[in-house]
This record gives sequence, structure tokens and C-alpha cells, in this order.
Amino acid sequence: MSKLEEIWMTVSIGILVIFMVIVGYQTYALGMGPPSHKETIDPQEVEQTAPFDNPGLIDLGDNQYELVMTLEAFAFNPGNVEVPVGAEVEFTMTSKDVSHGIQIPGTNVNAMVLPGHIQKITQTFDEPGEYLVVCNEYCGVGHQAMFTTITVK
Amino acid sequence: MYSNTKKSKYSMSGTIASVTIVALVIILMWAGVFAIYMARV
Amino acid sequence: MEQAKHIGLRENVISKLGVNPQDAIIALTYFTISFATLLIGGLLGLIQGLERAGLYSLPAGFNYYQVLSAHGLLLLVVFTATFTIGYQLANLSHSFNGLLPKVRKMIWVGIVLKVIGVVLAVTMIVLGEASVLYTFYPPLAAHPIFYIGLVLLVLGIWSVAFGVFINYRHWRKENPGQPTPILAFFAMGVFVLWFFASLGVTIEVFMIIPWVLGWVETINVMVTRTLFWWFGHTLVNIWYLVATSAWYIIVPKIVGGKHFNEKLIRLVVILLVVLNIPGGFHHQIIDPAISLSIKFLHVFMSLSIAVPSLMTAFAMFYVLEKAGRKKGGKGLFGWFKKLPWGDVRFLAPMIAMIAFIPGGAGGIVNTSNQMNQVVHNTMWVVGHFHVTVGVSVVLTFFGICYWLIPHLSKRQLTAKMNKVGVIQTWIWTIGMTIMAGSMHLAGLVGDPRRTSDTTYAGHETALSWLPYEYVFATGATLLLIGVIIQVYAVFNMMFFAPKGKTEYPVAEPEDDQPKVPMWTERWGLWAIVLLAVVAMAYVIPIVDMIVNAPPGSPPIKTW
Repeated sequence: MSKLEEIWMTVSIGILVIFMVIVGYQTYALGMGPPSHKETIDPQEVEQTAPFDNPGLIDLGDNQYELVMTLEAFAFNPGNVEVPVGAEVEFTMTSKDVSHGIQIPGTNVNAMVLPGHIQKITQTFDEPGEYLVVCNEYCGVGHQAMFTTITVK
Repeated sequence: MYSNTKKSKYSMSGTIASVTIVALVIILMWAGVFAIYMARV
Repeated sequence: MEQAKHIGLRENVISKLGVNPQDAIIALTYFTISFATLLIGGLLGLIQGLERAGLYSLPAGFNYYQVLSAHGLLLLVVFTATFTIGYQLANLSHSFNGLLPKVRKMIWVGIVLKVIGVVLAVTMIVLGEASVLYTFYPPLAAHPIFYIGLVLLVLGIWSVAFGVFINYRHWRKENPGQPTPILAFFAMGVFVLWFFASLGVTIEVFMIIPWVLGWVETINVMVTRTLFWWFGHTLVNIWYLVATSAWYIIVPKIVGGKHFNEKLIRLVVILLVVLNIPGGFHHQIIDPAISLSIKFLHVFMSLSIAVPSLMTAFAMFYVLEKAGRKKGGKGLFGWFKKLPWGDVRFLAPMIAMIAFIPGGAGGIVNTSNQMNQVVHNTMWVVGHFHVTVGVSVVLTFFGICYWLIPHLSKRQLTAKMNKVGVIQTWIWTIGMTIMAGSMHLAGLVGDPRRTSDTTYAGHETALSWLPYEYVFATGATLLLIGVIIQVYAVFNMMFFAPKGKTEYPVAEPEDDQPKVPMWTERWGLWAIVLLAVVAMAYVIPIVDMIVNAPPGSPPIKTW
């Protein structure tokens, strides 16, 4: 390996290492890692299993909420949720049938929601507006109609 | 670890410039998406 | 043994004749299937792009997801696999002075199995029985025949792979102490990686078939998904490895240079083969049920695959600069201008290599752990793989056609056909730049992938994506024109171009290069190291997914 190539490999691998340090610090020190909740549920008994037996928005006080939500072929339940500006919402989700994905454009909310598993992701909504919530994992013929909104006022 | 091939009589400035461009593209794209990620936290 | 002696004798006589005629027929058969599939898959791609932009609505009985499933399967599984095998077998025949007769039989069996498999799978898609896309994630359940088609497809690939391994061992026995020709070394890398990658999806499909037939009540969603992505990313790196064989060994000859230091080329191949599979979880970064540490390990493994590509970047610029300087190129980029831009055999792979700079950089962005939340399942990812597969791999494949197909058909690459190739390459480049570029931007503003035409009841965010989708359709139109030109060129060179001899452009090593070390040939060792690395990355999560599995899911048909 020529001297020049060695310099190049040192610099380029160094760049990759810096990326990993930044991303690793955020994940482990600041708790900003990707949604990776490890809790299971019987996918055929979702409606009978708490907390999914009555999905909805739970007010936890001082502008913190938990949104218990079930995803199924072609609907989010509950839909059209409203939260005040600056609300920190923890989404607790599972699927009643096939694989789904929840994505709120304009925010970092992007998570796979798989049958048999409970997924959690948290987002603070600082900007007011009507946020579009879509399913971004193909789930069937009505996949393009699977959406809802979150209104932040 | 340096190979002992004699200094080739051709200049290597083009290679240096090109791989620098590669490094810049990697850094710029990553920084761009990282900025978007931070803006949406 | 009589066979081996016979080949030994012919060694020096036909060493420069290139591909054995019987092997040429095999390769040309693969290319015929490959480009027929490209035509259909490309047409479906345009239909998709138009439908998505709301400019075309499919006739009754068909929907976007059928087209998407067929587009994915035909291009990503059939076109790439058949071209890869055709090109690799030509390289092997060229390097080994002809394949063994029994290996040819295995390859023909492979062709038949693959064709039947594809026909079964695509028929199910057309009948609407398998709109599960080419990732077929359970609990989505397609018709059992769809999965049997996939099994035959994999068996076809194994049949060829084992043929290659047998022929390789035979050549090594015939030439003790000799390193194999570099193109054969690449082919071994391709098929070793392909075999071990296919183990994941094979186990998955053997889990799915009893489940779809109803013999088994439920299936473990996380395990099947993980097994698919054990295979998924490695499949795309197999074509990348095929493309790099052309970059490292063919392009230097066409620009009138020598190929890079062979030991380092072989190191790149070994690194790509050994490190590839455990990057799988970068497709599952935002899945539930996988711990942050295991995900981060896979992020590290995915970034480690970038290292051989960074070595390739240096090597290619080094070789091209040296060749350009030798032709009198002065100044910082004078060498760049001296390269044979008018020769399609150089132009196409060169653009392919340049495209891999943003393509690879995009991959580094995608796999950066939580940053994946910005782009996962959005059009950014679609833009990414249209750059990496659509340009870096496909344009290299197109560039290979312009010398390999005339060579195999004992015809010539005429100036006219070279011109057609140059025009096709620029149309392709512009089409992909427009399409993939707008896809990247659309993805950043949230446009989801794999979703048919919708404005989500006129939601303003969704309406803001429409301009990008018009640009997709424009790019897709250009690309279909490119596909048609390329398919015309391929079949013209196969049957109508004037008779003659076309050079098989294999670059020679530099003069002062040391002899290639034999330890690079220890494929048994690389297979063991590969399995060890895969075990490191997959045993813990898969065992965890099985031991802590929730009750499984029944087959569901939501289309």
C-alpha cells in the first residue's frame, strides 16, 4: 500500500469513526437512539390486552402525553388527535395484523410497528399545525389511504 | 508498511484531488441530513 | 482424469482465444433472459412512475402494488442475477480456457430451474395472488406457488454456484501453487458471498411455506424479517462486487493502463465477502424488539463495508490518472480530459463509478443509526438504490455489453453501435440524475416509498410532494427510452452486427508488481471467517427473537 493510500485510508476511516462517535454519543448519552422497544403482545388478542383495550391520549401532566395507538390495515386508532403546542408525546403502538410503519413528516417520528411487538417513540411538537401521520410500510391494497393527523394548537 | 516502489514519474495530484472530493461529498451529505435530523428532534 | 489432461494440452493453444464456444452460448442465453426481463421491468417502472404522479391509472384488475412487486422481482432478482451469472461465467471461461462439461450441465440445470421459478412467481403476481412486493414480509401471505418459484430460483443459483466451485477446485488442482486469474478470483468472491447470503432467505422461505399452506398455525414475524435482511443487503453487494470486477480489471485495459496492485484488489474482494452479511440490521434500525447495542454493532458492520469501497475509490483514481498522464494529460485534471470519453466501454462504467460517490455517501447516511429515522421507508431510499443499483451497477453492466456480447457472438462493436451506446449512456445518466435526485429530495420532506398515488385527502404536506413526483415521471420516461435503446443495442450486437473478433479487454498487472500471495486463495478460510462474523452479529439477536417470541401471526391477505 503506497504512502498516499495509507493517508487516504486513515482520513476516510477517521471520518467514519467520527460519525459513529457523534451518533453513538447521542444514542447512549442523550437517549436519542432509534425506537427499539422490547415488549411483546399476542397479535390476535390486541383488543383484549391493556393498554390497547382502549387506545387514546392520556394526559400525564405538565404538557406530557402518552398516545396509546393501534395500527391495522388501513387505519390508525385513535385518529385526529389534538395536543397543545410544546407537548411531549410518547407513542405506544402495536399492529393488529401486518407490518406497518408510522411516520410524521417534518418530525423524527419514523418507526416500524410489527404484529406481536409493542413499539415506543417520543416526539415534542414545538410548532403548531396539522401534522400528517402516514403508514410508510406497505400493508395492503389500501396502504395509500392509511393516514391520520395530529393537530398541535 | 510503505511499499518500496520507486516514486512514479507521474504526479498523483489528480488522485489526491479526486479522493478529497469523495471525502467532501461524504461529509457534506452526512452533515446535511444530520442538520435535518437535529432540526426535527 | 482424461478430461483434465485434455484441457491441460490445449492450455497454450487457445489461451488467448477467450471464451469457449459452448460457454459463449450459455452466457448469451443468460444475457437474452436478462435483457428481455429488463425491457418488461423497465416498462413497469415507467407505469409506476406515471401512476404515482397521478398521470396514469392502471386498468381495472391491476393495482400499483402488483406492478411494484413485478418491477422489483424482475429487475432486482432476475435481471441482475442473470446478467451477473452470464458475465461471471464468461470471465471464468476466459480465465480457465473453458468450463468443464459437467459444470456446463449444472449451469444449464440452473438456467431451467431459474426460468421455471421466475415464471411461477411472476404469474402469481400478475394474477394478483402475490402483491407482497419483493420483500414479502410475513404476515403478508402470498400464494404458495409464489414461494415455490422463489425456491426454484435459489436452487438455480446454487446449481451454478456449485458448478463454479467445482470448476475452481479443478483448476487449482491442475495448477498447483499458481494463483487463479484475477477475474476468476472475483467470480469466486461473488458466488461464495451469494451462497452464504442465500442461506438466510432460504431458511425464511422454508418457514413460510408450511405456514402459508396451513400446516403451521403462526409464524415469527421478527425472525423471518431478520432472515430476509441477512440476505437482502448482501444481494445488492453481490452485483456491486460484480461491477467492481469490471472497474478494477476491464476499465484499466480500455483506458490503456495497467490494473491496480493485485494483492490489494484481492484484499478488497475478501473484505467485501467476509464483512458483508452482518450489515443486515441497517434495514431494521427502527424495528422494535432489537436492542440498541445490537443495532449499533450492525451500524459498525455496515460502515465497515464502506472501507473496501474507499480503497476502490483510491485505486480507480490512481489507475485512471496514471493512464491519463501517460496520454499527456497535464495539470490537476488534465488526465481526466485525456480519458476515452467517446468509447462507451469506458464512458458507462466511468459514470457508474462517479455515481457511486453520492450513492455510497447516501448509504453512510442511511446506516447512521438514529439518522435513519429521517429517511427510512421514504423516497430517499428509493433514490439511493436507483443511484447505487440503477447507475453504479446497471451502467457498468451496460458498458460490459458493448465488448462482451460482440465477443461472444463472434461479431464486432461497430462505430455506429458505440455511438448508440454513448447516446444511451447519457440518456440514462440524465434520466437517473433527474429521477433519483428528486427522489432524494422528496424523501427528505417525507414522501413515503411503496405508496400508490394519493394526496391523503388533499393534505397540504402530501400536495407539496406532487411536484417531485412529476419529476420522477419525467426521469422514468427518459429511462424507458434508455432501456429500449440498450435492449436494441444488445440484440443488434448479438445477431446483426458484422462478423469479426472483439477483444476481451483484461488488464495486465504493472511490471514491477510482486507475485500474488497464495494465502488470498484460501476460500475455505474466508468462508469460515464469514460464518464467524455472521455468528457474531446474528446469533444473539435471533436466539433472543426465538426465545422471547410473542405468539406468532397467522397468514393475512390484505389485497
